[in-house]
Amino acid sequence: MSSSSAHTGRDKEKDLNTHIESFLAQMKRRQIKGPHDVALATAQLLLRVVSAARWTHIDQLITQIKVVGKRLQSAQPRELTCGNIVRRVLALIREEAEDTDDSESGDGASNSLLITSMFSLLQTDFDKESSRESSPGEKKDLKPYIIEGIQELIDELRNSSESIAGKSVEMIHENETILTATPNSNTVLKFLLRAAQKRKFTVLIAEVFPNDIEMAHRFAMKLSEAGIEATVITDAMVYSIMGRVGKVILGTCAVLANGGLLATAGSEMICQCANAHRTPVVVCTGIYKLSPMYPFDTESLVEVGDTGKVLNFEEGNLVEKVDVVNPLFDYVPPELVDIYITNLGGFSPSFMYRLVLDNYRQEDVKL
Amino acid sequence: MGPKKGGQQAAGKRKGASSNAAGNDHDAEQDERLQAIVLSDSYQTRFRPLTLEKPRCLLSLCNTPLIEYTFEFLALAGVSEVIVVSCAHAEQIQEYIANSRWSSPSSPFTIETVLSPESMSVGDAMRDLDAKGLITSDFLLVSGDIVCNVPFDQVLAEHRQRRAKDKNAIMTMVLREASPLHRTRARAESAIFVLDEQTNQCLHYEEIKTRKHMKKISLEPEIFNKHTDLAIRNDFIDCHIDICSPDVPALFTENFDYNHIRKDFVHGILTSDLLGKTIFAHVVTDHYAARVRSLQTYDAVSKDVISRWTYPITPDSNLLADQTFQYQRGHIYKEDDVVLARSCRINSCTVIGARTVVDDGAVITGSVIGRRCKIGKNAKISGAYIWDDVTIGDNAVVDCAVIGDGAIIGESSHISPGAIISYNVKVGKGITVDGNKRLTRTEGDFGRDTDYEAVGTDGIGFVYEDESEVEEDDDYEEIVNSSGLIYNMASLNQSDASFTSSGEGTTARKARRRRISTASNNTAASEESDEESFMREAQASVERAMTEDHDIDIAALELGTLRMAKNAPFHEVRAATITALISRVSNLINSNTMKARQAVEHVLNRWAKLFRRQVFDLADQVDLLLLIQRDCTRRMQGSAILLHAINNLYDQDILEESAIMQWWYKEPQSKGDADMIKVGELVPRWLEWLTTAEEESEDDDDE
Repeated sequence: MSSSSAHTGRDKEKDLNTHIESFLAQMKRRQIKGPHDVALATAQLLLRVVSAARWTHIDQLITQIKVVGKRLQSAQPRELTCGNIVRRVLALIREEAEDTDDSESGDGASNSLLITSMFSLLQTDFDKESSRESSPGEKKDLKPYIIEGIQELIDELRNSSESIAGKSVEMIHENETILTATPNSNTVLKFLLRAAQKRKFTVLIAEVFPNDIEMAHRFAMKLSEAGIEATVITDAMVYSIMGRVGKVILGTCAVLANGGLLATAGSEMICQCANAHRTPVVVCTGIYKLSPMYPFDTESLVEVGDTGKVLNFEEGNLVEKVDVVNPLFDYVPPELVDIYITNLGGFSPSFMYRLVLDNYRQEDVKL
Repeated sequence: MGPKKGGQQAAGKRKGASSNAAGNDHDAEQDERLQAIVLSDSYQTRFRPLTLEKPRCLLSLCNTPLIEYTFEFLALAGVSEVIVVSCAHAEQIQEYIANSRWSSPSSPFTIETVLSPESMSVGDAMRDLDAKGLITSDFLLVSGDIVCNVPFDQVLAEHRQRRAKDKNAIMTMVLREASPLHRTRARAESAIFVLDEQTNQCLHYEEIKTRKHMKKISLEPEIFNKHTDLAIRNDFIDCHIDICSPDVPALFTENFDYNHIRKDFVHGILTSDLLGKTIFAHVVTDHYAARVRSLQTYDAVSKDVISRWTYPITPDSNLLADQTFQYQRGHIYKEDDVVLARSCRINSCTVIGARTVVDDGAVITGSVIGRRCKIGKNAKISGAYIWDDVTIGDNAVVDCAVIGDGAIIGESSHISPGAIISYNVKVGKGITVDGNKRLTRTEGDFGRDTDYEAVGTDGIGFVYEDESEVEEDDDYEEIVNSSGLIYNMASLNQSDASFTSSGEGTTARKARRRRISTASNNTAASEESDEESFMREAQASVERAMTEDHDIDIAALELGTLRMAKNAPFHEVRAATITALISRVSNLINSNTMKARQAVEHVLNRWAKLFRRQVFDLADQVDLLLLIQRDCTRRMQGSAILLHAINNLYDQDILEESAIMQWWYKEPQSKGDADMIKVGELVPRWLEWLTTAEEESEDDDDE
């Protein structure tokens, strides 16, 4: 290899590191926020990482991605989609690698794979790596396939809310009253707007004090511009109005492996009200929000936001004397959700674990 | 790379989750690069003795250096170019920035440090910047100790709109609304803003001096004619975040008596009829903006950061790469590798750094604890700010105090609210440190030994006494009057707004004898005559001040103005002052009105204060002594005048013992010149007295 190309390689690495650093800083500063933006930015960043990476064995790439993924995840551990995308990419790489293994060593490979995965319960990573190393080195260049896979993932991210919206007509009936409490969800907005092309219905929007009030008002504006009858209600009215509501439609920040979800603070209260009235709760989510994590400690998943939104900072007296907490999310347990509408179709909460297995590899759950 | 990214971030910031990927759309501001000037020096001494070793902006606030918060804010504001102006501890600041992520290619802005060692106030720094010609467009002026999360695009857009309409709208001040007794407002420094309700134009600015019990302010009647709706407000947190046009530094250069950005500049511009410039305010009603300008605000801002008013700039954002804070219910932030004993109790609003060990039965409430600290058994810590590597002994009680890096608090000792324990001080067993005490190990200007009374027989350190305390006793009342969140903490805020006091730290002083770097294109010949004329005028100015009995401040200002105008070094200022003062003394003696001693005291007691603004370090003091000596050779009774002058200046703390020693024993001039020796004939006896007095007092101490 000539020295000049080695030089550009180092430059590339430096450049990549710059990208990662500025991604981390923007995550911390919340300049990139919201599951969709974070997922997209993560995927684009990983695309760069993969295209810059050089490896002789696929495990090296996986370790590289894992190292980067861990850094990305730690910038904002409560933004689960970032980790989801990293795991999706890892699963994709593993799949490509196994495909080539399969084609090379025929039927025996899948068998041996099964065995190694059984053994790997007791094996350390190092052993596994060395055992893999001994397997015939790959001849096929996987890079284009992996890059193509990530491109597909990015396309999926871009189109997920569209394909969810496609299912709206089946979910919303004529003259139905819908309640929503997640005005920050673009997915829900598109879902309702698409339905409005075919159906006539009413939407009630809980304004979810304190974080999303302005958003709720804008949300209502957009709906009414599209000819939907939209009403903003206070959070306190949710229970009393629930009797008239036909369906609760929620967006979400993250869906967990047990079928529970994290959504805008106030969502749990609404779901409990819906449950009391036996009103169905529909959650619209892209599959990229599905996380392989279990909510063992729900508190550690909930981001705590700007105190100033709850209590005005001007109130000098109160500021000194009161402890104010402003959680941004609620954890909604699976039993309060009736159905998830995803870009892959509708699923019941109890089926979420299966989707997790389809999308992620067990060995990547812990980054 | 840097500037481009800055623009992208500005475009992508503060958008709802609904918007698409950050940086897709192009705001107007992307076209215009935004410069920011960070004044890393505070030109105050309120954090002493902590700032004797470290500049204020590198002090840790919730385990992160203060300047990081400022840079975070600038990154959020979409700034593309940052210029850090440093004066005291400049090398530390430079080193910090060079090693920080802000100088890496991933930084959202380019960063540059500018040394301005001569500057003693914001005004000086601005004049220096103007002379260096670094400012090209409208810029953001902040100090290195602000904490702020105000989204800036709107403020900027409004400012630019106004500028486009009216070139004379030179400045926009960002003010955060707050109740008058808000904890985050600095108690000692508050001001009245008179604003036009409709346009937010600032019409009048008046600093409130609490000690004078100000009951009225006077407004120009014109204001009422021109503006229909006025708001007279005293409910702002003014953290000195200003958007300035390039006119601002130029105006500072034109008016070289402007030092303070608010008291002098804003007040001056608004009261001046000639300039016709206007200043606007941008009142922020949500989000957070504050400045750490005193210990009281240090306490308040720390609390605000912990209770997440500053979101997303909170400890768990882990601003520094190696931080690993995690948030827990009740505003508790813990890093990895914190060892907590089973029976210890961590109450709400607490920050604990990595590798800190908290032993059995210890109770920590509302405190910030740095890294690698050891908290002993049954220790009680509440409302305290404990920095890195501190050891707190068993059963010790620390209450609302600041404890610097590496300090050791002995077993069962008690640190009362408001105390400051500086770096590496060791407080012995069972000692009670009073709330008004500041303990330090850094000598500063005076070499001192351990004060065993204060720190115990097994301790190391002594009580720090603020030099500025002596010169500004009139502020004392203010201190007493300002009731704070923690009374004592607040009482430590020496209001030191006057520009006379030195910058933070001694390094600043050493370099200050260099000429102020304003461009001077004089030829050597004209400079010569400039010097002469300066001497003449300066002498005349001091003499006039004495005969007409001017205020000392006015005299000093006049001298300062002359110095700036003629671009004269401090040496000449000193020479002129000395000549004027000694000729006055000798006149008094020659006219037989007073004896030598009386005359010297009469003149120097009142006028020696002028030297405080002319003499900064040891070399200056020696220079001053030589000047006096030289001058005395020309006078009748010169040796007596010299002796009494030295004695008097020593008593007034203008001369230090070491300077006198150096002058007498080391300066070659004092040996070669016969006149000089003759005039110094009385000095050895005085020196003898000085050394014996010193020894005696040391003996006293030992007993």
